[in-house]
Amino acid sequence: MAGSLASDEEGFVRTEGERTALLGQSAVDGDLAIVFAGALHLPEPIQKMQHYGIGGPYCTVTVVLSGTLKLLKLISEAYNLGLLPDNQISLLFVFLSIPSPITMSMVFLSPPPPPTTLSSLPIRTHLCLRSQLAIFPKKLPSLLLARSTENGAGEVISSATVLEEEVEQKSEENKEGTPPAAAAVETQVEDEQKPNLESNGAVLKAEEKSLKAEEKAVLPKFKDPRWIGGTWDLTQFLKDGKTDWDAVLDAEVRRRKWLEDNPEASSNEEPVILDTSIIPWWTWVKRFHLPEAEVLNGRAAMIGFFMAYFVDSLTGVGLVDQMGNFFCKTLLFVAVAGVLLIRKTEDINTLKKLLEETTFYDKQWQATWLEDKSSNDTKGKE
Amino acid sequence: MAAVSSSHPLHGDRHCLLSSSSSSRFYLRLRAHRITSTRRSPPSTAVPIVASSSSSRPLRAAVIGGGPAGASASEALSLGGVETFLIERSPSGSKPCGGAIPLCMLSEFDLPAHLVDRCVTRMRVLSPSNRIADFGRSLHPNEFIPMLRREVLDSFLRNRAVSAGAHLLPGLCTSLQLPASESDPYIVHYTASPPSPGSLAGIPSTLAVDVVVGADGANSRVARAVCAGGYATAIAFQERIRLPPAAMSHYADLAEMYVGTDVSPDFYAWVFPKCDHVAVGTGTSIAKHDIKRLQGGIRARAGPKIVGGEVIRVEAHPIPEHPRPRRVVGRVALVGDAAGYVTRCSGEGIYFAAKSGRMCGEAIVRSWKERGMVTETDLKNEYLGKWDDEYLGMFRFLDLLQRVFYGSNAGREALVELCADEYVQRMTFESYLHKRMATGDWRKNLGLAWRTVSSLMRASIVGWEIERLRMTAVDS
Repeated sequence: MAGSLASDEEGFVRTEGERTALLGQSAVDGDLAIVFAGALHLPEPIQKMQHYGIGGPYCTVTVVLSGTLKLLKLISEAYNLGLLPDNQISLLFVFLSIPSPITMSMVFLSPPPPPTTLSSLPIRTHLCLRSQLAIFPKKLPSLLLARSTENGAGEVISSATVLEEEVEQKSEENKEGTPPAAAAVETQVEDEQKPNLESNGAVLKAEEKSLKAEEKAVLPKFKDPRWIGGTWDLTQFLKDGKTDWDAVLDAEVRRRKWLEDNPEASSNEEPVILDTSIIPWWTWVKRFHLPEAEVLNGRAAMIGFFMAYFVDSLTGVGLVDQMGNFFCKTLLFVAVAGVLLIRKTEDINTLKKLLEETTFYDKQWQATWLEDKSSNDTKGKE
Repeated sequence: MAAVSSSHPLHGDRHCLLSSSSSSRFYLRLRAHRITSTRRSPPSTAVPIVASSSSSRPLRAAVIGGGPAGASASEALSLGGVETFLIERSPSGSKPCGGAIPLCMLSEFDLPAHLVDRCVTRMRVLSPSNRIADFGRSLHPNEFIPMLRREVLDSFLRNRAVSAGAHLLPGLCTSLQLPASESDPYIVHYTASPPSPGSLAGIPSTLAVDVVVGADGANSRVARAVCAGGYATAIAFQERIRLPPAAMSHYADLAEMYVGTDVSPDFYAWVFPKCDHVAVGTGTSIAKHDIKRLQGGIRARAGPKIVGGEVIRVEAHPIPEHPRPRRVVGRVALVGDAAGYVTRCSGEGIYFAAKSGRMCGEAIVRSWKERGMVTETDLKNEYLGKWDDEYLGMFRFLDLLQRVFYGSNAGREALVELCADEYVQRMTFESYLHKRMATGDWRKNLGLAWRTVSSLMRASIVGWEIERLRMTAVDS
């Protein structure tokens, strides 16, 4: 019995019972790929890949395959322990090896409900279960924490932005504003301002507007204590001794948003020399790729499952045999490409317009030749 | 024939400089194309037109419009022995134009150095967030961008055409009468300018010619007469501002290009130095009604550098966005702006106008000498075919650049980031100054492609984040 108690890298010791409960809940939790990665002690690189959402669909396939093998081992151990009755093993194996919420519905609800309710089901359970799962290994909580920090930071950012917007509106109203009014606005902003100075020159803008009210329209300049010499001073972005690239990216986003709304005169004295390539690639990936990859991963998995089921029902060819067929591989490629390209309904029109635009210029140039071909026999058409 | 062959371009003294290698290149390419091309029109069984090799009179051609395109066409025609009539409505007028020409134009068209006002060796591109890319670093010591005044260039080219034998007819072309049949001439109706400046009324005149070259610009009357079709135009608006000497010294050899939605939603705004003033302007195709606001935007962006300047002139002009659907109709060929040869992305038109004029003139001369007649097919094959072969790729590429990099602030930021790269600058100068599509090292090209994609991705991500911030600000 002692052999069945295993500890993962972080030293969590779990019983088999906990593991089965884990698997059951993971089936409820639509995102099996991530769960597999953490719960089944998959190697570090794959966990990292999941953490960063790299190569969504490919990762799913890899993870599912390796996860399936581990699952087999797990199920055999569970069976040895007498935890699972015989007739449920094959059932469990079949359903748990296919990542999809529909699996969960087949397990827990006898008549398969239509897909619309399915999609809503896992999301709600997803959200409330995630917060309750305390038995996840350390990597996953860090993933959750990272997400919540981002969301939290997002909320913080948005609140700061709202403050900015309010102050900007106020200061615009008080264009010829009296100093007391400007000072009042200033103090209000200062009171509500977060300690790490996330808002930019809104305060100084109010100052400048009141001081230079008589001069012709002078555009307010972007001012931020961390913006020195035309680039971000990285020494002011340190967190735990390392540069906080997320904060740098946030600051740059807000600077550009400010400049879009308030275009600034270019100056020779302080040229902007910032290059966004100083921000390392994983910051960008985390900021954009991770949530997108999650969504697309889920979609690709769903489409793949339905297609496999459909082809199987029509031809009787199983999943493994399907993968050996060229036509099926083509279908898979089309599905993945389609999921990547068409994310919203508008994308179809956008792609069509893009294609038209790309060829429009060429058509203009060829117009003089095409007319010649079409009216070759009829001459002198004016 | 003996009389005209002595003034053949290849033998003429004046054109020893006009490299015979380039002419032989033309012939070589022509032969190559005859063998390999599949897009050519089939040879027509046309009735010979009025002037043929057996008749005693030379071919008569009318060139409507005396800008760079018209002047180059007239020159090429006259040197080939064609009787050329150049109709220009204002020989001393100045045109609203940036005034930049590529370096190769100086050598190809034998322009003397005294025409050049300034030699720009520094170009600056400024992004919406005022990030700067300095374009001068990778210029070779003998490379620069010549800036000149249009009135100076135009009159020089026109005078040279007149010296080659063209007849300059100052006047405004009012209409073009199309021939009833293949053997009839074209009748050009124009109002000749009065010989003495005192009198007000012009003299209505006509001219019967065999071939017409339409070089009368973006609002071409010739194009309308032959129903060549229309094109979308952008508007270029600029103010000429005389700066105090201290501010002018900053622009002594510096040209600036600004990108951003505040200055132009689909093009760029500029501050170009001229002889003793700067031209501050912007262009747009989709926001023409808003041009004043955009001009205000560029003046604000240039800000402290043009403060204290005095506006001496305000001008605007349409710029064609793409070629007309029909550039050759019957025995009428369109060249320059009338045909729509303005590149996107950079808005360059002077060189292509002059080059197309010359190519058209030479094509007419060649087909007349070889076959004794000029037909629509000849014009299409000799002039349009060669033109498309040589420059279509470049135009297409610049169209792609404009669509990718001028469409959004994200694209513009990525553009400026890429422009800071040495390899990009080198490639740009090769293509722009020498009008050759630079090929470069395949390894560096791959690296450049990678950097382009990553710059665009980064700029797009920042753009999405900005959108997200905006939306959360709006929602809450």
